[in-house]
Amino acid sequence: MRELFGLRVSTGATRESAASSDVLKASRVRLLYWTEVIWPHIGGIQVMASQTLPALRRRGYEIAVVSSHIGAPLPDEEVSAGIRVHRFAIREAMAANDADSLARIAERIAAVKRRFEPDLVHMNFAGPSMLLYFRTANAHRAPLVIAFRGVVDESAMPGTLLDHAVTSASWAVGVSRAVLDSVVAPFPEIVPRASVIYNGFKEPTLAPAPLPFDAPRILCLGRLAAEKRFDLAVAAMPRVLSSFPSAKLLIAGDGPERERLERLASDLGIDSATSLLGWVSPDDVHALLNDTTLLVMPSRNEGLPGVAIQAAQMGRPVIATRVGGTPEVVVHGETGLLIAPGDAQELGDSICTLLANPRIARDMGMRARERSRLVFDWQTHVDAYDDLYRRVG
Amino acid sequence: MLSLDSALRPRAEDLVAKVLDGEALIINMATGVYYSTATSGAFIWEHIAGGCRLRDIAAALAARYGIPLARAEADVLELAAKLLEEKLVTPCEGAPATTAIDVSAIPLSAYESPELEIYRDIGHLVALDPPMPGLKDLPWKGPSDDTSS
Repeated sequence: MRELFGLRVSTGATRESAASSDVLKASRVRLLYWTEVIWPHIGGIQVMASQTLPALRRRGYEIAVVSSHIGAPLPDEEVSAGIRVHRFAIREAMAANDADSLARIAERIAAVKRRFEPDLVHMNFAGPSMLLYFRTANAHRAPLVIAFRGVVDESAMPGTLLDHAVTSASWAVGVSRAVLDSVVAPFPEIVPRASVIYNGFKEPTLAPAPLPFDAPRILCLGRLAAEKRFDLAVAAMPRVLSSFPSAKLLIAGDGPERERLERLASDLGIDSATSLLGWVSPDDVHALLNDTTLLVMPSRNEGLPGVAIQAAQMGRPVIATRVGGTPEVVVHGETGLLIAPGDAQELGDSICTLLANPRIARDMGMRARERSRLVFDWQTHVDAYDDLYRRVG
Repeated sequence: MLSLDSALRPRAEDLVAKVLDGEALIINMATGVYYSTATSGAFIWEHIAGGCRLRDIAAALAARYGIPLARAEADVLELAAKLLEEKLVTPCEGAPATTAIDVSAIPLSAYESPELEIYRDIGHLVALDPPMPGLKDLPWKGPSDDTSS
């Protein structure tokens, strides 16, 4: 163990854990992975699953995924990287209050459970599809690991999915301390069955490029949803452009806020300094980050922002709101700057501070890179889930 | 006043419900709350919806499962009270149905008192993140088949 940026981090366990995992490879574990949406939809959970599940499969796991369609015309069933993915039109049936369809979907899910006979179930909390997990509980019973990926803002009210989830879980994982604390607060009884497992990221194949300052490029990356508050980044740009006229704001991602962001940029007269790039493949994210000066995350809330970790891997400083698990990724004044949520003025000032001090920005980026290797190590992440699944399953 | 002589009817104007494979799923469209009840609960719901008196439903339960009539009556009354409390049913006006209940329709399993599972946040969660039609040009396929860990 060593002390780094105020965190006690393990630096020697990876090799030992990997060795013990090799010994365990002989015993096959059938893992049912339940998540609202799976690839090729793009998001933090999908990107993590696309890496973690194949890694576990290579360690001897047999994996099946249950997820929802969410609008896109994707197959009901397909095999991807050796993992069988089942998609059901759960959201559509719920949005239409279609009890007949839900009952039929429940029958099909029950059949998947009976056929696959999982040794354990991993569920990403939370989405309405969980209802069908509970409704098909009798089809096949297995220990349940629930991963909380966002800060929970619910009370311990009986009759909520959160209540059902915590009551049913054999183990609860928080992707950050902040996330787990938000679960423990209303459900203190979960403490003996809970732990934090940070997401880990593979080392990028690209080497970090120098930060561009002559034409600074400020990046927002994520789903264009209201909670990401990318509108604040747009609103901060007039302040930035008054000091750095060659600066550009890049917004990568898509979603329901797209038109609103375009309109806001137009209303502020900064269309030419703002580019909405649409979806960027997760395979291209490191290259995109490598072409930018800094990452901005004005989110209303975050469980553990993977994009900030990827920016750190590429040596980019991050300016982010002090919410949820973000302070566990961005160390204020060391690897980036933390600001109050909802404050475009402070965001603009912070961007200008880093653009006016390239040396500080570069140093922050380098420290962020070093810290990401230690705290968000890929192998440690896979080992932690492997160990947990074998213990619980 | 709820009694064994009561008959209830689902508030059809607000509800959709489906009984399948020994389980009833009930959705209150007005509130977005989902309900689920299995085996004995599904049987009770189905016969409440059929207009049967609670006393007849309890007698059928007792006969099929071989449990004391008093226990069946208490269980039926308790579930009926919850259904009323959740505003899923309303007292039935007029003479209740006299249709004989086919007790062989109840699946063979050990008797468990009916439970009404309630999911109060489903409607909220669906509204929070509704289906997104139009995501047709996703630039990513998902995991590759590479063998690196």
